[in-house]
Amino acid sequence: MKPSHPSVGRARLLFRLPAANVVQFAMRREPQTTGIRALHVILLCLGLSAAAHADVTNEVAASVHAQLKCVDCHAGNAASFPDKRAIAELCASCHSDVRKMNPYGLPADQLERYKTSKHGEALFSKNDQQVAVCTDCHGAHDILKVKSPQARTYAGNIPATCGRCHADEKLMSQYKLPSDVVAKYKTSHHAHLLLDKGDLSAPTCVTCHGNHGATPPGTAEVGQVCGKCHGRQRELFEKSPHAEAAKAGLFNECISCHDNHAIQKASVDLFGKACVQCHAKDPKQLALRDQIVGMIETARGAYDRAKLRVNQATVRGLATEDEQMLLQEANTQITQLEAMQHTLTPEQLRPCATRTEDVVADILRDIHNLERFEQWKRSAIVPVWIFLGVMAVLFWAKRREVERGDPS
Amino acid sequence: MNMETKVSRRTFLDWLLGAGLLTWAVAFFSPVMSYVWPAQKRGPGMQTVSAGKETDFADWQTKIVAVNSQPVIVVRTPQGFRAFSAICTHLGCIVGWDAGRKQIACPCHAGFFDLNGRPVAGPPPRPLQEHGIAIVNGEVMVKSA
Repeated sequence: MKPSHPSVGRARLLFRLPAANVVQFAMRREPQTTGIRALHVILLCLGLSAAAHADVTNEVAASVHAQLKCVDCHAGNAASFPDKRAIAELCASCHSDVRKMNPYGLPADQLERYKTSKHGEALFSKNDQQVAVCTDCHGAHDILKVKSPQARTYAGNIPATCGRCHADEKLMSQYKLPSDVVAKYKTSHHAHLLLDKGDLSAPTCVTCHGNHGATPPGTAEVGQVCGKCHGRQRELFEKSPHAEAAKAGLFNECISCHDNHAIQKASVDLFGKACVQCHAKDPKQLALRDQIVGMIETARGAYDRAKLRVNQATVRGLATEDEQMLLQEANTQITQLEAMQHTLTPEQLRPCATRTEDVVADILRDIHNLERFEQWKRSAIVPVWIFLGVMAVLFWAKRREVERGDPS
Repeated sequence: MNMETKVSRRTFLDWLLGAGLLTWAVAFFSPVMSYVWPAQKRGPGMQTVSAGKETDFADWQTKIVAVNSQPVIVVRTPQGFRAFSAICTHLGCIVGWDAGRKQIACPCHAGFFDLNGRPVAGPPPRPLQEHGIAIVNGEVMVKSA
C-alpha cells in the first residue's frame, strides 16, 4: 500500500503528466498553496527543484529515508503539513503499516503508543501545537538510525534531545513543569555512566519515561520502573517495612531516598541524608540505621585494609594469586551486603557481613604468612655472608701458606 | 689418639676450601638447573588450567576455577563445555549458576547472562569474557582469555 496522504497521489501524477496538465494542476484553486505549487511546477519543469533544495536533498540522501522522494511526504507542497497532527499521521501512514515495517524489523505501534503519551494526549485531544511530535525527536529530513551516534535518538544524545523542550523554562512554565530535570539528570550517576563513561546501557530519559509513549511513572509504578534494571534491590525492598508504607501511599519507593532525576551513586552517606527526612525524631529507627551503617562500614573497612595489604604484598613481589581470588570473594560479599540493606533487617545482613570478615581474616593471615616467609628468606642472607667471610679467610690462609712454601 | 691419623694443617685447609668451592658451585648452578628442569608447580604465567575430568561434569553442572588469579566459570551444556570470566561486568561480583533459568547469575544485583555470556537481564553493561576450552586426555582444560 502506498502512503495515503491526500497530496501524494496528485504529486505522483504530476511527474507523469504532459506540460499542459502540469499547469492545470498548478492552477487548481487552493488559495494558501497555489503560489508555492506553481513555483514548484516551474522548478520541476526546469529541472531545478533538486538544486533549489540542495541542503535538504543532501540530508535526505544521508538519512534512513534516502529511498523516498520529496513528493512521498510533501506532494510538491512544503506547506502540506498544516499542523503537527498531520505530521504524526503522515509518518504513521508507513510506520503503522505492519507489512511495510516488517522488512526493517520495526514495530508498527508507535502512533498508538504516542497517543497514550502526554505529548500525544495534548496534541490529539487539545490540538496543542507545541508538544513534541515525530520530527521534533527524530528530525525531519535527517532522520538517522537510533544506533547512529549522530542521531538525535542515539542513547548519548537523548538528554539533549529531550532537553530542547524540557530545559526551556519559558515553554515548561506554560505546563507548570520543572525545567531543571535535564540539568539534574546530568548530575546523576546514570548520566555519569552514559555521558562520561560512554555506557550506552545506562538509563536515559526514555528508559524510565518511555519513548513514543512518554509519560512520567506514577507513584505506584516507580518501583517497577527502577526494578527493570535494579531487580535485586526491588526484591529486597519488598521485604522491608518500607514496602508496606509504600503500598499505603506513605512512601514513594526508590525516589524517597534516591531522588528521581539527580540519582547519586549509593553510599553510606545516603543514610545520613535520607533517613532523617522521615525519622529525625525517631531514636529507635535512627539506632537501626546506625546499626546497619556500622555493619556496612566495618565490612567495607576490613575489605579496604585487606585490599591494601594484598596490593602492597603484590608490589613487593610476593605471589598473591590466591589472595586476589579471596579479595574477589570478599568484594562479592560486601556488594551483596550493600544491596541487602534494602531489607532494613540486620539479621538479613549478618551472614554477608560475617562472611566478609571471615574472608578478610583469611586474606590477612595468608599475607602475614607470606611476609613471615619473606622475612625468613631475608634472614637467610646472614649465613651466606658468614660463608663468604669464612671463604675469604680460608683463601687468605691458603695464599699465605703458598707464599711461605710450608710443606706441612 | 693415633698420631698417624693426624690431619695436617694444609690438608685441613684444602678440605675447607674444597667444600667451600663445592657449595659455591652448587649455589651457582642450581638456578641454571631450575630453568632446565621441567616446571612442576602452577605459577602466575600459566596459560591453561584443568577444571577436572570431563566425566566429573554432568550436563548443566558448573565449576569455578582460578585462571591467572581470576575466577572462571565452566559450564557443561549438552552441546559441550563453555567457560566465561566469573567476574560480573557490573560491579565485579563473582557470578554463579542459576539452575532454574539455566543462566549465569550475579548474586549481587540479579544480573543474568545467557550461555554466550551476553547480559540478558539486570544491570550488567557488557558480556562476560569467554575463555577457550580444550579436552586433553579426558581433562577439561581452560585457557586464559
